[in-house]
Amino acid sequence: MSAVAAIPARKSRRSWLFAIGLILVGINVAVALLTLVWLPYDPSSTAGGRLEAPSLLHWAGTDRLGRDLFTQIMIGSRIALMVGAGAVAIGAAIGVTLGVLSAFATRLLDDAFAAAFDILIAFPTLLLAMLVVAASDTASLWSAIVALGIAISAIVARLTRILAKRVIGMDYITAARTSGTSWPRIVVKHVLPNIWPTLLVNFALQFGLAVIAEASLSYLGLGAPPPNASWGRLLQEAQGTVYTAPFGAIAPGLALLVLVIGINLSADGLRDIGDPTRRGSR
Amino acid sequence: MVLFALLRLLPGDPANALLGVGATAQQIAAAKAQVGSDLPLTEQFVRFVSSLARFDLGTSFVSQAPVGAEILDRLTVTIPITLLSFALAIVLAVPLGIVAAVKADRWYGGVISVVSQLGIAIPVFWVGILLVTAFAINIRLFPSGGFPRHGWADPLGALRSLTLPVLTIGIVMASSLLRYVRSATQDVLGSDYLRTARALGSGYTEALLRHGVRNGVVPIISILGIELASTFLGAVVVEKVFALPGLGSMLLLGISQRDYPNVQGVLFVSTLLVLLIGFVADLVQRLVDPRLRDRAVGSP
Amino acid sequence: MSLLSVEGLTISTDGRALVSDLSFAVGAGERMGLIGESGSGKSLTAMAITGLLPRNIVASGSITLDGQQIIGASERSLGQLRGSATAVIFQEPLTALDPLMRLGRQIEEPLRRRYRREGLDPKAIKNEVLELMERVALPQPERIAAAYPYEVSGGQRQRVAIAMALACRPKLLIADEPTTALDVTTQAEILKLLDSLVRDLGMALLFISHDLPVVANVVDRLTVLRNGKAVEQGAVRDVLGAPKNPYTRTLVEAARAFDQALGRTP
Repeated sequence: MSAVAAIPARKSRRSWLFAIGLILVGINVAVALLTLVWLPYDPSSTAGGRLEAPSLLHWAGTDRLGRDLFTQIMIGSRIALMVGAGAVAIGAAIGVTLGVLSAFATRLLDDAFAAAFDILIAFPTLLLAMLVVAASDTASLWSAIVALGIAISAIVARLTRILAKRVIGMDYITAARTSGTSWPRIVVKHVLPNIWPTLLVNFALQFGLAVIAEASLSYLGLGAPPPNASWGRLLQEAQGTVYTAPFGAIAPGLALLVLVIGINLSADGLRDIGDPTRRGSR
Repeated sequence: MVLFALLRLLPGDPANALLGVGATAQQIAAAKAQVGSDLPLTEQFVRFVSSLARFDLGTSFVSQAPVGAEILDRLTVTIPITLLSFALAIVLAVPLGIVAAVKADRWYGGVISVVSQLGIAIPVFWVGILLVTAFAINIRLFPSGGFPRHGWADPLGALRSLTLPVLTIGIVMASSLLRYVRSATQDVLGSDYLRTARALGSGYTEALLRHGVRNGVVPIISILGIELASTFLGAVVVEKVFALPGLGSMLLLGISQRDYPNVQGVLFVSTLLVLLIGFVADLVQRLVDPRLRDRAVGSP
Repeated sequence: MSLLSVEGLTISTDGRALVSDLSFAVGAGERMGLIGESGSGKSLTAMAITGLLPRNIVASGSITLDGQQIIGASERSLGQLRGSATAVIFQEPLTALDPLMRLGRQIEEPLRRRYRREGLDPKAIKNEVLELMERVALPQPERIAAAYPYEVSGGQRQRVAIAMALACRPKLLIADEPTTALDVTTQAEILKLLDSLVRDLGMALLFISHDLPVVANVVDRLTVLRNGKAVEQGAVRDVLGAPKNPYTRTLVEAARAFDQALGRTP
């Protein structure tokens, strides 16, 4: 009863936040797309003075090699979005498939899958990613994407399996079966549409985590090498000179913060759309 | 549950499976004879497991020092950081999370929620860099990095070096934990059993303590397990920021130097610890929540 | 003076009135039924009577329980009334009981409070718990006392909830849709149980439901709620036999048609 009464007041605040989230993400996407056609400076040009503070000429200053930092940050948003989207795409594709398969599998196989997912989930995403990158022996954009993708797929698989099982257990599925619908059709027509909203929210959250994880990987040197300017790598480079040029350490971090907050707010907004009876879930 | 335990006791398997791939790529630089990588893969695995049984994790390529000893040494840095950060995270998150839920309609409840939103969006190492800038460089209160040469023989120095890293990880972990605590508290506050207790005469606080606490803690326990594992990982990442000689730097050094035994050793131990934490969290949860005891496989 | 006297009760939130100007009275030992569809405000009324309305829902008007004014009363005095003058049984026993506490202990809780209040010897508590469980016709009381809510059936859980309410020896028992979540057979059993208990212990009963036939068999007088307003009041015979209000009439008609369709005699 109280939840129903409280919704009007909360809803306006929440939709406001959702809008902010979408705007923040949208800005990043716009910038990323922009970098494909135009950049303020040539990213590898070391023409600017070293470690300059922000100025009208260089909006974010320059890095220790004289490259314009703002350009680097812009490219960074493209990298972040690519890795995030790529990782989530891979994770989703593998995860949903495995999850659905597991939900339909025989008891023994399903238990084995479930146990496997649970073990993999016990690993923090970053550790799994590090394992994969270390095993693949090269640090590149793709290895980062694949590594994160694998880590995400475990989480997605587990969630999908639980959701799918819940739906399968429902009566209308039995009804569809008795009326002769084949299993693949049931999956497409009934199971997937039902679990899609929850999965989507999860994907959005994983996106944010992937962006942070990528930054961490790059920071540790396991991510995309130059000229791919990941924000994580920028921060790592800036760390050595943080005393004399603090801005180099602040700007990429801020960019990261803005993007991830945007993603998280959007994810919360998506969740509210899918299930408006939730209490304040900020 | 037995099935679960069995699977959990095979920690070497996932680590080794992946490393098996890496091994073949690194054969080029590695001393083949020592690793025995010229032997078929199954034999390698057998060798690995048997040397494990003897607690022998091999010898480093680079330093020729036994890997196991090196790892133990590094753990004296990584483990205290992990535990202290975790403790800090709990101390911060629990009261703040509860307040955020109870006083959601007051301004300070909202502020806490907003701040936690920030906290989960920040990568751990950035907070570290910021804290270093603020405290070590500008105010010069704590060292900007490094660990005393004699390790814990110099307890005060050791603690000073660890303060900033612990703060860094603790704050970030607290933000994420806080949201779970808040959610659990909200569930308890709106619960029917609380209403029943009060309807039958129980005082508000009394009902919360007697029923709310236990019910609220249950969902948190499994989260705590995951958070502890993340804290451990955070410790590994943060070492780079603060130049601490812990497990993380050993790993990174090993990867860049292609020091296969070192890398394998660190990954193996990390994996083991993470799985152990998960196992313990699972156990504790079963102890507290009787509903889980009758199920065949753990998570509902 | 009635045990419970509700006068001009208005419950509103955010400027919207959920219950308007509701008035009824329940004397000691009397049984009153509150009927209405979901959203008619019946549960809110129960919460208002016990002072358990959520923070953003406000009640105005007058509610006197056992001589004390409820509206605007302090939490302290309300706490004293709850569990002594009145006790509540809720709709969904699975969530209304603490899932992590054994059933016996949950019955003990209100019992202990009463013992402390009346200065009785706590050593007798364990026995009385078992007695209460026998009163509500629970088989194997010792086994159930040691069990957790999820281990017993819905009907048994509701019996435990009734036992908990009885432990308070309330003057007024409020039953908020106590059988709605149960299957039909169990419903009938629980209703019979409530009926006999209320009669034997001389309690007053406020029975809230949306189910007309269910309520009609258990209470003496009825108040029909629609959209938060009372549209009809009176003795069960009169309200059901010759309903004055068109809404009541449709309710009665629907129930009768249903019974006839099932072949039951009205």
